[in-house]
Amino acid sequence: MSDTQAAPIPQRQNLAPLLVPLAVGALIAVGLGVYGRVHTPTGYAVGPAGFSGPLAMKTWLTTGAFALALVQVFSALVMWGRIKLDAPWIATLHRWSGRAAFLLTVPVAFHCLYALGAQFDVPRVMVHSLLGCFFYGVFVAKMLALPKRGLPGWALPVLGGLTFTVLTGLWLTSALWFFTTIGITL
Amino acid sequence: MKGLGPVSTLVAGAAITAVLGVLSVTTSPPTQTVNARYPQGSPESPAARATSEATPAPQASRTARPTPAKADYAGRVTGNGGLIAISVRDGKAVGYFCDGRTEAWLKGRAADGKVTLSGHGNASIVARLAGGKATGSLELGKKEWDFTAPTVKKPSGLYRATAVVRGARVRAGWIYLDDGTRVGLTLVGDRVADVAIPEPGANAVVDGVEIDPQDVDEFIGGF
Repeated sequence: MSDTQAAPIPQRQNLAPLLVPLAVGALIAVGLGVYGRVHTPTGYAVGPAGFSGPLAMKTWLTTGAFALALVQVFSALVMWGRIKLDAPWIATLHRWSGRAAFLLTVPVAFHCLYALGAQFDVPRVMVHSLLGCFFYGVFVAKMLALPKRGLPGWALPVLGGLTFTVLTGLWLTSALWFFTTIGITL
Repeated sequence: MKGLGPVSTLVAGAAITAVLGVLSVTTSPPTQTVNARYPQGSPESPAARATSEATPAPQASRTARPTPAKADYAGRVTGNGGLIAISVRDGKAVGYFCDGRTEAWLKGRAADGKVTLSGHGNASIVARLAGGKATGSLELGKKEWDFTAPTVKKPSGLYRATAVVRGARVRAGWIYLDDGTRVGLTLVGDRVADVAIPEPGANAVVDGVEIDPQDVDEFIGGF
């Protein structure tokens, strides 16, 4: 019996290590949403220069993050053995493309929440506002769950998959809208 | 590599957010000083005006008033029977005045709790955005009127349509108020056409062809 403690994969699915990441993630998501509603939008925020306007800046950063998210899905599939590829560097690629994708989204979310706030009066904007808050909740949960031991096997794929799905939704409701209604401009 | 755990990633994101926040708070006043002009007919007394002109710029910018990032106003213009609509999206503003015979499209900026718009033929609007309404004055040609326009929610508000019907350029604008009052004008070529005002958001029929009115979110990008 004493060696069950040392077994690398617990037989029983243990949800306990997930509780804190999920709770913190939920707090982040709700907190962002409340901030977006309560804080008076300023209509102005500092962001990366070099674009024709804040919407163009956000469109391109989101598109960059989305492209990196595709790298994330691919590298994750390799890491989990779903794609056979002999690449010892794949974990490093996964980590750094993920970091870059996350950091690209930060100025975008900052402009969204600080300058515009969460808004619910147009379906596209409502979906985008809700997904945006949810995205950071899931992302924080994923980051906090990563170093935990004894997670259920599905935990990281589900959290990672949700992060990707939600980011895709965010891209569809913002960058794609920008490209189709305003045009492909920097 | 060991030191760069997932938590560090979150910390880096939080740090960037903090830097953007500090920069935004410290740099926002300069963008607000664009509108140094007071709207005509504003309640500022000459004394108050003199004081604020005497204050040094940083002091003035600290009192910068909040500007809604997204707002739609529509109301009556006092004394000329027309309706006015002003919409603000992210610092950009559009305005439309119409009394059923004449109209004016205006565009401009919103900042420091104010909008300033201008259009063809010396049309201009200056309004203060506060307390859920836009209060200001409209200038057309050499005449000037005051107005107060409360915020409105869809389906009330401003709509615009542009199309080409049987080779003629069609441009139309409509304003709908919450109490059901509506006004609009459709130009085919340069002539006013006899086109019924559609229900808010419903298609208008010009010369037997349906045209699709766009709400502000749809047309402001190309306006």
